[in-house]
Amino acid sequence: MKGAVIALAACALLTACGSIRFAVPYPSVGTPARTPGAANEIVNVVAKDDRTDPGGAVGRNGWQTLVPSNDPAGALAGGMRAELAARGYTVAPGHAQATLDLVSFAVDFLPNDLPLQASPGAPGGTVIATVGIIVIVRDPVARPVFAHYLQVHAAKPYYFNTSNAPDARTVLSEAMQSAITGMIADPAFQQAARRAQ
Amino acid sequence: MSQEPAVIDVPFEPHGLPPSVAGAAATTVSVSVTDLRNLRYDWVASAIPGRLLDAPLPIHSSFYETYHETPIKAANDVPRTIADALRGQLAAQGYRIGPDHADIRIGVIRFHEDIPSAQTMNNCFYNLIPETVSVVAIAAALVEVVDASDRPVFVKYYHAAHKVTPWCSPGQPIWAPSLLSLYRTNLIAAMRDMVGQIIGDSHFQEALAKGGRP
Repeated sequence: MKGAVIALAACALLTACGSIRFAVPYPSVGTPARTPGAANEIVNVVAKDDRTDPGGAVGRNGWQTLVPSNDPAGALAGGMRAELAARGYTVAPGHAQATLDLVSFAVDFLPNDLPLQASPGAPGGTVIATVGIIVIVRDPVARPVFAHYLQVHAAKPYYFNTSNAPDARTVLSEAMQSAITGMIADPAFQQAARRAQ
Repeated sequence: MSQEPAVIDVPFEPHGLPPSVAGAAATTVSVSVTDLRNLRYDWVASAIPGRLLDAPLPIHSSFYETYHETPIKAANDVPRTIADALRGQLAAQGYRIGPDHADIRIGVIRFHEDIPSAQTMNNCFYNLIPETVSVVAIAAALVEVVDASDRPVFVKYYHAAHKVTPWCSPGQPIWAPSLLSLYRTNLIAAMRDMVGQIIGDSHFQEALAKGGRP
């Protein structure tokens, strides 16, 4: 009985039970170094959402279920296009075609201790974002020349609040950017983009 | 107080043999596997949301142990079981299994069970908050086929999710052996679904024909 009572009490305390919809951030692009030879290469990026439950919850902080209000796979593909452009590639169809396949996208709240001790503003624990992507690069006749799976995490402390959606956004943004940068910085990806022209 | 993980074996259990494939006898394929999962202790489930299985941090003991949560690990080598399953199914379809022709490279990305949180379990157990409770077993792999010259001719992500709902009845002991049995059955079903998707995919078969003949 104890666990349920705790859940109900904390639920009433935070008045924030149920689903919270939040916009998945568009990964920010910094000023990456130009990739040698990129100016002669044309790459297109399309998104594919292969999560187990597309459109469903990405995490839960005790009593709040976090549900994206926009398209995470589309946001990642958009971020990848922006990063490629910033590195000097021409982003357009007809040459190398990269498919960004989103396979995992989640936020986990690891509490420090029992929610019984929760009060707004109190230290909560660690929030971790997980982003898993597969990028497949195909040449103009659709032959695969590159396939790679990459999973990244980002973490930060969180505090009990009426909404932890901003915390989710922060760690997701960091993980999304790491995934994109990690993939494009991979020499094998760059060679594939060249071979697929 | 730390809890020893529960252990379950997760074998491949097909529903009969797949139909033979025309031309398979002239095609030689090999299967290799890589474990791309990011799991601690080879967990396949625990009574916490399954996404945590991907998390790099240790699970804090006080919260979870208070709720009697225990990690569950596989007794067998899951990626190897999947590779063996694929070899067996391909042989049943008529393919010759051997080196030097097409190599099927499986990267196992996920194999675990999403189980509701302890809080949800408690709510369900005491029938305090009506909720739809379900257990979802997930199997996912990236499959590549390369030809004898090591050139990729096919690549595709396969995933299967097998869901059982509802599974929690008021008054049911949380760690009853029947729950472990349910987790095991669900994981076996997800593995079977994924392997079935792979061998039944016409594009995969075309790739084998392209890459697996001299």
